[in-house]
Amino acid sequence: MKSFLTKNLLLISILVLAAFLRFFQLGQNPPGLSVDEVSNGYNAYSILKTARDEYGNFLPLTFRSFGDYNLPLSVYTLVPSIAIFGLTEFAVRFPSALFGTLAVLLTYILAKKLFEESQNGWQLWKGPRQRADSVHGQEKLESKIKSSTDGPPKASLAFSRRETIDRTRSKLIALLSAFFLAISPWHLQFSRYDHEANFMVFFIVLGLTTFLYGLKNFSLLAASAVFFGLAVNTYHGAKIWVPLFLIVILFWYRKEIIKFKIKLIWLSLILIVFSLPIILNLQKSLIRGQSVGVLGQPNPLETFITGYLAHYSPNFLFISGDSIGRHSVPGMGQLYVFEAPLVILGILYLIAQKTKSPKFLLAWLVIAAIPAAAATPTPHALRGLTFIPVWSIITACGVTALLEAKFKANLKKGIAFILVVVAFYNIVTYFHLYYKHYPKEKAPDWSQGYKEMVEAVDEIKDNYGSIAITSYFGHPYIFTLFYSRYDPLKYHSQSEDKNKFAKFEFFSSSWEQTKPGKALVITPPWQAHPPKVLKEIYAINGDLKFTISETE
Amino acid sequence: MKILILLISTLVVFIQRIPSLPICNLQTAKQAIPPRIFAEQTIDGSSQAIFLTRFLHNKAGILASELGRCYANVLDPNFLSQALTPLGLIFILYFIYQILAERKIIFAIIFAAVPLAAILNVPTAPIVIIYKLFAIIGLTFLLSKIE
Repeated sequence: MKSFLTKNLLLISILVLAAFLRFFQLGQNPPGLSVDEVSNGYNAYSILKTARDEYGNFLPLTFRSFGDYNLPLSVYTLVPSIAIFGLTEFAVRFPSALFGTLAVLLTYILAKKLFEESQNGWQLWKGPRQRADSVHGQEKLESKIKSSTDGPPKASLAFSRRETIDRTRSKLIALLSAFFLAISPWHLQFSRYDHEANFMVFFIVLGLTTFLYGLKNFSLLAASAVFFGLAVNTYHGAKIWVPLFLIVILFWYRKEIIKFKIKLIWLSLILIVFSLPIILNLQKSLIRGQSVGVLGQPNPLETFITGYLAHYSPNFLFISGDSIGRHSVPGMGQLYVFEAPLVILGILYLIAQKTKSPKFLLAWLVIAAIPAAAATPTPHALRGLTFIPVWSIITACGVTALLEAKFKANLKKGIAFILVVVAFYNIVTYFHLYYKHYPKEKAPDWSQGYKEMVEAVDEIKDNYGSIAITSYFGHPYIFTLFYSRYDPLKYHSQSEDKNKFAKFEFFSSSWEQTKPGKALVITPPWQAHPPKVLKEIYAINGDLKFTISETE
Repeated sequence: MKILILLISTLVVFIQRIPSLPICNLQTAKQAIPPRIFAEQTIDGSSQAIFLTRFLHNKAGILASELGRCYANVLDPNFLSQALTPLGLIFILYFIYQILAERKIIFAIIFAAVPLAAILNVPTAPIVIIYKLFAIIGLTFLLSKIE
């Protein structure tokens, strides 16, 4: 045990860091649950209590939610978490943070496997003459190994030395990949709130890792098919991404796969079984795609190409990031600025590789934008989450290329020093922006204020005949259900009318009293309300969000 | 055949209209500093240590980030695709690969320095023409590799 800990101390430290960054203040920041998180959370709560969703459907394979028929995995994943932690913000975000942390571990394992037969990439940085020398040198080394006349011990020594170098390099790349993913602003953003795309990334990396190990072991290959099958059931975008990714994997490793011959039918069967929820609900599954897909645009091909290229824009990657509030921190790119030169180096490093596995990452890099470009708006950090592991591994390759480059020692130290200083400043700035600025700037994107309002109403609701809540901020019924922990069994029979349940009514522009007795009215700040104000709810940025008043 | 491809591609890349870049230069970057510092320091609040506020939100950092935005605008793949055609974009990517792989430092420095011209308010046309030339050089690199 002690030896295991000592051997893997760096990896364990990275995992602890990843877990800390994902779980620290998980319930408080982002500030409030988004409407999709609340919907998933309440549906999971309903499944836990009644084995039915909010509409009363028994263990559904797609969740109707707000009419977008979400895939099931993300809701079912929340059930154990809500069973343990209760219906809270932390419980809703716990699986995402956990899967995000595990994705860091998986990226380590994946990178280690991908680079186990890698070569060093420094030849790339030499002139033609030196390159020829280097190639000649390598050939000389290889011929020495092969035709050594000094007997097996020396040859095996040379082999083992090369293996040791390969192992060391693959471990270095793997550790760096895990580290860059652990601190990635892009991955942290989506690991800290409940979104099915994060589960998709986890299952994709798990599927690919087991696939690579499974090339020599059929049971692992079958497991890989199961994980890809699960990935399909996580997120709308996975319906494009998983088949596309599988086609590229199968093409890339066709020689290795074909060896399994008849057994491949089993893999196809596994994938078909896991695709059944989508196939059986095909029409419903396509609703979301139809509403955001490029096919609905005036120039679909042009929109697609523009959207595709937008995901490689330096502004999107390193300067501004996604403009949607829930997707990135203002003032930050999707990646750190210091990663920019490392990404260039990393891509060149991958091109220089001679084995096919590292080069697979380049194929991944090229296709990752396709699902995101198939919908609008672009660039889109959420739909582009398929990029995540590959950017981290490429950055790690960039560091490795720099370490292996044959520069003058002082120049190398100078470059490394500048990069470390810029990296430190970038990382410190990111965490400051995330914990200090983000909650204040983006509170409206997270429906912040609903919790405080519903809790305030919950305390006094028994004193009123009816409670009217504004729907100005969107979907108030689900927030009321979630934060009041309304009994799902009672709600099923009232679920079709989203404008009321029990004594709650939800109004858009104006409200008229229809029931006798005193009423509690919750209005947005700009709307007229009864004169007797009981409480005002303020957002974290100081804006007035709700006014709670009562009729005479 | 290679010459024909080169000629046609050169023609296609060069007759492509020159798109306009967003207005982003040293002047706009300087203009952005006071409102950004005000906004960021307001969010930080007076309770935060002044050293930390100044360390994280200062003129140099904001200027660098604004200039970085101007610089990145020129290297935007969509801008390059509009300026050079999608084919030209592929050629210029190959050009970048070749100059880095073959360690053609002068070309690399010129390539990296061209977006700085936009920061100094140089019109878009000369910047794009340089990139069009690079794209054609990239194509010649590519053609020379094909047997």
